[in-house]
Amino acid sequence: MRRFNELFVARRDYLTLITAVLVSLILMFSNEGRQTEAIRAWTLGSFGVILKKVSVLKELKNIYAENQWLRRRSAELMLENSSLKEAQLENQRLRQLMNFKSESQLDLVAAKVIGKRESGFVNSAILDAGGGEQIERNMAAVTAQGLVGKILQVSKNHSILELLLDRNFRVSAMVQRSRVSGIVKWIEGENVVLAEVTKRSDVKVDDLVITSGLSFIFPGGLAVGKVIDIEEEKKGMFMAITIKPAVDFTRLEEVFVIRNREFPIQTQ
Amino acid sequence: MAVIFYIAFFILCIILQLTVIPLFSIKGISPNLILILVISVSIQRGKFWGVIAGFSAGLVFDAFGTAFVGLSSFVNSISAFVAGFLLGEQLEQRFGVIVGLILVSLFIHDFLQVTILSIGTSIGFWATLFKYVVPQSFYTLIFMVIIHMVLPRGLWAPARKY
Repeated sequence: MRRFNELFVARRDYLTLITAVLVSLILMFSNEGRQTEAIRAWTLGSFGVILKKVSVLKELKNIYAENQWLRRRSAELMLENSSLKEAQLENQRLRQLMNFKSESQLDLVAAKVIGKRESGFVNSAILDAGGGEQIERNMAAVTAQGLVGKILQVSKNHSILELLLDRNFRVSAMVQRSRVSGIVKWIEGENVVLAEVTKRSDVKVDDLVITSGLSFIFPGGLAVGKVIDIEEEKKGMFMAITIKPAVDFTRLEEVFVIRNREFPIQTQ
Repeated sequence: MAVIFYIAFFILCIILQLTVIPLFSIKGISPNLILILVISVSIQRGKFWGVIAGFSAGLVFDAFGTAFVGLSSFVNSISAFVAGFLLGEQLEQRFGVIVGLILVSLFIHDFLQVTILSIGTSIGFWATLFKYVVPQSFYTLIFMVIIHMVLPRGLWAPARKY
């Protein structure tokens, strides 16, 4: 025992490193385990409370400017609202005429971004809403501009949002104009790509890319972004279509989580 | 006493990393405040405390990301050990030598992390190195040097007795 103690004291730096590395590797290979999920949720819940307080302080300086902007926006929206009501009535009449099924209303819940983790490959946001607001894993999050991401982890009052710019994010999407479909994923930088689109498909620069609706997570018709570059791969049968996301992730302050779990396949 | 002081400092660093540091992000590259503190602990208090600090802080920080839990603790522990190993006996050296050795520790951290995260993506080795690893290491180093100059005792002064 004494000999063991002496050995530990003499080699404690190396033993600590080996232990830390081994435990880290075990955790990395057991990420779907219940204990790991529980640790993650607990940490999120504990730190979320402090993060929310800090984010409130950070926002104080912007409140006056935001108030002014909101007043102006309110007036603009009131005008827009009246014209939209007219359009909605007209739409309803036309739908009845064409015997369309009415689309289900999306059940949205607002959540504030209280923290972000950005490091090249890993891009997530921490939201101040969680299980208490009936938010669950794999629910989609949007802003008025378009698709933001999906919920990855939930604690009682907070959740982690996997952003469109994260290495693990994938969504089925299509070009709104030509209905050419593919998979949107992040490759590198601040843009995403529409992958799996065969050469000579009808895609042009400035085309809007929307979610296809072929998903249990994302409803159809959400704006993903605009096509900014198209290149045909020298080898292979696909095109490399670069998309600038519709959402400005540097200014992400509030999102809406879609609580619906089933979406009808929507025709846009 | 020192442990409580460091725990409080680490909690502050994690909060700043998630709230304030994203404001300094340039093309998705942002300085790593937690790693700065981990390396500082390793230099001041030795490899043993550096590895413990790196492992614990990494574990907490991983809870907020989309990567697998354990990755930050893995790379932080190795980086802290390297920093302590390279700089433990070098504190009397010139400023440039210390900064150079810190850069090595930062580079090892970023290289390991980005390499593991880039597995399964189509980004090539050199693109990974020059678009992510090198900018990330230099950006964190610049932040570390600024903090070292601003703080009265710096980041790698001999540890104070509590």
